[in-house]
Amino acid sequence: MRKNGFSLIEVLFVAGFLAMIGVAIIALSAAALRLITSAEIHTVAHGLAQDAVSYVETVALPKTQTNFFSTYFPTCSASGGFYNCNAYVTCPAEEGSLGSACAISSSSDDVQVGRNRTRYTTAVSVISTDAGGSQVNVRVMATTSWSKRTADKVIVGKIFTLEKL
Amino acid sequence: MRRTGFTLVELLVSVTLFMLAVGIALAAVINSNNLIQLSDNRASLVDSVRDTSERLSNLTTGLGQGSIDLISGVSYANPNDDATLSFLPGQKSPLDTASTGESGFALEIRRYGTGLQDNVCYLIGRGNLVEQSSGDQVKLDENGRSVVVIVTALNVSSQTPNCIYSNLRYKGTLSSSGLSLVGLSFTLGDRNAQAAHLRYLMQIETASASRSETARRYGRLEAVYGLSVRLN
Repeated sequence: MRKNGFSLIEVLFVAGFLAMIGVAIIALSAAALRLITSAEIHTVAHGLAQDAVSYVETVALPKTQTNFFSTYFPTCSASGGFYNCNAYVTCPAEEGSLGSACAISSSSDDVQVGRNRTRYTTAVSVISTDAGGSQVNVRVMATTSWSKRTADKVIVGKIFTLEKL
Repeated sequence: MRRTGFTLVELLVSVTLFMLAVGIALAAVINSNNLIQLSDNRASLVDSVRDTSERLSNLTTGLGQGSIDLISGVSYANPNDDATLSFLPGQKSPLDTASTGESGFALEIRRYGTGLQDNVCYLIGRGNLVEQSSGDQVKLDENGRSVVVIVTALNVSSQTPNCIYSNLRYKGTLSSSGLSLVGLSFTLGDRNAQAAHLRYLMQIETASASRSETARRYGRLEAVYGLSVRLN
């Protein structure tokens, strides 16, 4: 007797093959979109970190080492006359407009930039080291992160000089 | 008699499966093209934002007191003539006396060099590039679609140095063609006797950003940057 139609194995093979193609295409598209979004997130994070570094530099410049660190950083460790402080810098921004002035605080606050719903937190680490004479080098490192994964962050640093007192 | 060929049902099933496979392949090709376009646009946006930021950072390094102004209003008596450029009353604020929160769509930066020829003015901000047969025109405009740069000579012989707009050295745009500036605003975040925290927000989108929801979502980039400008 002649067999009519496809066998179950044939149908399952074709259906599985088509499903695999579909899944592969969707996975490729999702990966490409993630890459595109990642470029945006890194650019925004770099801008926020750079904004935080420039804010710390601006408020530090008219100060000496002592009154800069003791005024802006409530909790610092000091050793041999030099400081090592950690804090958060929040520079508000809303979609299409810049918020008010930045602020240094001991607690983190996140901001959102643009249409992407990612929220960014910027932490700063500020240390002073001897620059010789009456001056100290101040090194500011701003780290902007957008998730708990250790790789999801951008770091921007700068060194400038202050008077000891 | 033995029947040869396919039944109607077999044909319909095979044609449907074939169409499905072709449809999936076609969708994949179209989607890949869109993704390549989006990726290319995104790279241009990122480049443009970072390039503009880098140039501004270089230009504002080592400035002296009274060297940078925020501009929030500009007019041209003759749109084809740079010499007629003037700032609307009260809409050009020196950064070292401006108050926190003051904002503008452009900056005027005066840089001093070792020789007279090295004293120059930079006008950087929102503007338009107009292609003309006699040469491209670049104009400051608070609703402009490009980041423009105008470099002119700087007159330092008077008490208050001023830019000579008629002595044009360079005109150009910082943002790439094919990209459209949606927003550029400079704001004074903080200021003290020695430095000012100049913040700026830039929004750029691709020309194709209005075509689809995906293009709208991925075709625009907004970034905030900050600069510490020394004032003395």
